[in-house]
This record gives sequence, structure tokens and C-alpha cells, in this order.
Amino acid sequence: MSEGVPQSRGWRERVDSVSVDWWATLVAGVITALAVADVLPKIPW
Amino acid sequence: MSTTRIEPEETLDEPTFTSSQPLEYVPGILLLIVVGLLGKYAQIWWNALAKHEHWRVPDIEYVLWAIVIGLLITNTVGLHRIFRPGVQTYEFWLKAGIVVLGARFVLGDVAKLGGLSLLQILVDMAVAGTIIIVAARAFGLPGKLGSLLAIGTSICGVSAIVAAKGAIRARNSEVGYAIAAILALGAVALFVLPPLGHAIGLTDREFGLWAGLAVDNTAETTATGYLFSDHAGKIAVLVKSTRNALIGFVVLGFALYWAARGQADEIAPGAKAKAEFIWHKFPKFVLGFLAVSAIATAGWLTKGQTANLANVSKWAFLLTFAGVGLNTDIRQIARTGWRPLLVAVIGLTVVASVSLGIVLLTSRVFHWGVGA
Repeated sequence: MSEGVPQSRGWRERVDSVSVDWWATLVAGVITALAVADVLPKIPW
Repeated sequence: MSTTRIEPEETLDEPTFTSSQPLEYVPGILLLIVVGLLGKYAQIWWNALAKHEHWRVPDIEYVLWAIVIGLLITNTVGLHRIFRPGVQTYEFWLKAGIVVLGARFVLGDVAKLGGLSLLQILVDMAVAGTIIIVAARAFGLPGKLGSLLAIGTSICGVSAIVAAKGAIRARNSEVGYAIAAILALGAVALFVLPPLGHAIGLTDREFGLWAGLAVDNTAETTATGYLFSDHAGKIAVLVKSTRNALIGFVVLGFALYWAARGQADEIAPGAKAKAEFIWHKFPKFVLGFLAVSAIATAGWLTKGQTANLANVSKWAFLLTFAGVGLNTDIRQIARTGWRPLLVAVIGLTVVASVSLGIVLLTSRVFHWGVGA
């Protein structure tokens, strides 16, 4: 049996255990960081 | 008797991410985008048609178009299971949109409005929560279903109900009833409150406060606020986030109540365990919102980038509104039965009336926060 399987399962479990609140904060945080660095392209509405 | 421990699989939220295969989200997210865009352009087309035909018709906001198109799809042709994982991500878009919206608030305003709304929320919760529990008893509903409806109606809709589920050891059927009732009322509030707000002559700020206090589910609160105006939408999001931040305290209160009656797991003794319980239930995206607001307050964003972030937030909300419509199955709600719905209708009426009274009293009689 490959040793990679339990490792990848552990990684997936970790990813799955991150709540939607943190995912939303993380993604929004990256977008905000791009805006702070003034590299976020113009978003039209 | 066992004590309540924080289980890793017990999360605050609805199952937003239902698949571990990223590709399975693609069809549903594409559907959210299509419905959202249809809603956005339907507003433009509708206004252009009315102008061309010289009709005198109300301007129907993209928020309403997106929700109605989503509702029509789900309740006519139905939502194929291939779309479900992606469509259920609407809570993610909502929370990401709220975090980014922090750029439109400086921390001083957040503290001022948050503090004012906190006081209003506490009064609203105490009055409305009590009436709902009494109404639930009067209609012979089980005590825990009454607690779930009180938590859902006075605090934070579905998230609060899910958060309370494990803590008060409620049955799945009771949770299902309470969620269906709260979702049905969210839909009702969405269509009723904005025209009512215009009829009463509320300002954007007053309506935002009212929507933030009265509408139970964050997605519906956001939609109700934005249906009135952009400014009302922003205020509604801030007030609702303050309300959401109280989830842990309210759920802890109900958990202690049911544990004292031997009908729920006891909370581990000590302040540390209770603080852990509250932290576990705390909606973490509120911290993200405050962090982005702090960045805006520090002046790290140019005017152009602040406007950019506001547009990102609007796009995220557009996907949320599409998701609200696509996730509302009227037949499923109708199957709930009339009793929980009646108690929830009483709840909505009570919460809406009490919160409107509080908003008008504080803004027009006491002049609190006017001009904030």
C-alpha cells in the first residue's frame, strides 16, 4: 500500500475541516491584499 | 452524564461545501453566475422596455430579479443534482462579500453603529424570544422546537439553529421544521419589508437597521436591505453581523437551560470551557470584516481600490441572491405543516413590529446615531 494515501487523506481532512467562514475570510483577504498592493484590476459593475 | 465537547465535524454553518471534488462545484457556480447576470440585465432590460413603451412601472431591482429567476427554476423544472454542490456555495459568496464590504466602513462607524444596534438587538431578542416561546407553548409545539424557533427568529436564522442543534440535543425533525419555517419567513420578509419600508417613509439608515434586526437569515437580510437601497443594504449587513456575533452567547444560554433539565449534554464547568463554546460558535467571517474595515480605516486603500472592493462585494452578493432563489423549494416548505409555520409567522410579525418600534424610537424620538 502506498504511503502517499494516508498523507493525502490527512491533507484532505485538514482542508475539509476548515469552515466556510475561514475560507470566505481567506479568499476575501487575498482580494483585499491585492487591492492594498494596488494590483487588483478594475472591477466593473 | 456527558459534557459537551467541541467536535471537529460540528460546524456552525449549513453544509456549504458538500463535495470534495472541486469540479463538482463548477456547474452550480456557473448556474449562479448565469442567474445572477440574468437578474442584473433583467433590471436594465425592464427599465429600457418601460421607457420605450412609456410605461409607468416601478424599478425592479436586480436583487429581486435574481431571486425570482432562481425561484422559478427550482420550483418549475427543478434543480438537477449536478448543480447542487455549486448552488449550495451561496453562503460562501455571502460571507466573502461581507468581509470585502468591510472596506466601505471605517472602524469608528462600525463601533458606533454596532454599539447602537447591539442595544437594539438585546431588547429585540428579549421581547421577541419570549413571545415566540410562549406562542410555541400555546400551539403545543415541543419545548426544544420552541427554543429553536426563538433562536432562529431572534438571532441568526439557519446558522443559529444548526449551531444550537447539537448543544440542546434537538431532534432532526425539529431542526428541519425550524429551518423550513425560518426560510419561509425569510422569503416572506424579502417581499414584504421593502415596500412596507417605503410606505412608512423610512430613511435608508432606518430601513437598514430594521432589516438587520428583523430578517432572520443573513442572505435574506442582505437581499432585503439591498432591495431598499445600496446604503440600506450595507447597514443591514453590519447590523446582522453584530447579531450573528451573539450566536454563541444565546446558544450557550439555551444549552445551559436544557442541560439543567437533564435534556441536553452538560457544558464542561469553568469559564474557559464556556469561552471555548462561545468561540466555537462565533461566526469567524465577522473578524475578517473587522480586519478589512481596519485596513480601510488605516488609509491603505486608494479611492479607486475601495470602489473596486465594493464592486467585488456586489458581485459576491449577486451570486448569493441567485442562490437564495435556487435554494428555496416552496413544496418542501409547504410539507412542514402549519403549526411551526404559524409560530414562525407570529415570530416574524413580533420581531418585525418590535424592531421597527425600536428603530423609530431610537432614531426619531431619541435621535441616537442620526447622522452616523
